[in-house]
Amino acid sequence: MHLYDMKDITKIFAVLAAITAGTVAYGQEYNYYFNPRNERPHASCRNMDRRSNEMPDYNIRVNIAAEAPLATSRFLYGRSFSSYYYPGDEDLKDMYGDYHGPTYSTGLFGIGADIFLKRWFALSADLNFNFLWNDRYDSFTKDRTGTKTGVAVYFIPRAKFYYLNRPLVRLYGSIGLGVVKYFGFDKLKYIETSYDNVEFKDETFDAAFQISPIGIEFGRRLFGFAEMGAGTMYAGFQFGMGYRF
Amino acid sequence: MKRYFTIIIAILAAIFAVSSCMVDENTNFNNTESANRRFAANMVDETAGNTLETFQSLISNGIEINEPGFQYSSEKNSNSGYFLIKWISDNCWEVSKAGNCRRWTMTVRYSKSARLKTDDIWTCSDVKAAYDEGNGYTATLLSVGDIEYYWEISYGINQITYTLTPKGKFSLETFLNGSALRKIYIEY
Repeated sequence: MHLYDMKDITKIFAVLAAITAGTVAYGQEYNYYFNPRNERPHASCRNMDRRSNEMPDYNIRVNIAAEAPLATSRFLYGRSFSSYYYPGDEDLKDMYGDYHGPTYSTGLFGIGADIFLKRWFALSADLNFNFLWNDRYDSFTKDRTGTKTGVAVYFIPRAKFYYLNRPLVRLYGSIGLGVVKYFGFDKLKYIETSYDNVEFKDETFDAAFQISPIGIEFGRRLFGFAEMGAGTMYAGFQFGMGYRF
Repeated sequence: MKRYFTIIIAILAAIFAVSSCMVDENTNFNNTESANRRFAANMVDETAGNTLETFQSLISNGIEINEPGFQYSSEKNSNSGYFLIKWISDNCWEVSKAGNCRRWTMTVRYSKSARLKTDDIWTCSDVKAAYDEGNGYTATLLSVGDIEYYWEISYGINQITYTLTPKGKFSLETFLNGSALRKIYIEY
């Protein structure tokens, strides 16, 4: 019969203690990862945020939205809300000039970036584009004479206010004021005449605003978002994907 | 991660393709018969028609217009146009007129006769109006024979309205850089 001496017993206890300690430690870590109420940052998220315990500092986004009715109206008819009356079919040029067919648009697309200054507040900037085009035809022969293309470029800085800020989901609203430049929108360039004066008007550079009362972001580092809003850029919904770092 | 980005890009591309859609199906084809007639009618009103309002205004203000040497002109810097009325002979005047920004100029001969004491009949003859947009498009309005303007009376609930209404035929011919485009006739 083999009898264990003290050395052997000590070794057995040391191994058991090590196993026990490792199991408890792993259990703590494992328990934290799946416990959303744990306030300590996750090991892999430890470097995500320096100002708060849950939010990263920056977002970059890719945006898409349906086309803005304002851009279509300005591409086809010029100023839509101006009090100045732009001669229409009373001019022979309007009657006999080339006419256009149906108008198409890519919709609004672009990129954006957010900088978090507070848990509830971020500064945002969007650079978006909207291409429009239609075919032109001779008003006498009905032959196609070419294609007219225009692009609206929007740059709108925004203030974003977060109603709800969680690692997986966030709710926000935003308001922005910026500029829009129209390229190829010939109707925004015209001549205004009076009895003794001729004035060339160029209204292709204009102020732009955008307001979004509600938007949602879902995801941690890689996130998707959807927001509802109205303004110069779009009226309706905007969607996109982004990355937080 | 690469697979996720591929899926995301594919979804965005699909949305893009759907987004390149028709946003306006209307066309601005305006070279129609009705548009040309409307242009001609507007030009008749601005040239031969509106001048009669000036005649009526002068008469109602007690100015004797049927006397030798009578001449009347509007302010030269008026935005609504400039015109000059000259007496030629008994109940006959010559009018030269320029529209806003001198887009159109007109010469026409007016004569007046009275069928009834209060019912003046105005007759326009030799109406010649030239229209120039300054971009190569021009038009010429001519009367075909004499144009008679008579009073049309309409009865409302509390009022009676008198309107000078033309009767006759005009021709309108349009040009681009001197080349003829269309010729239409409007008859009242």
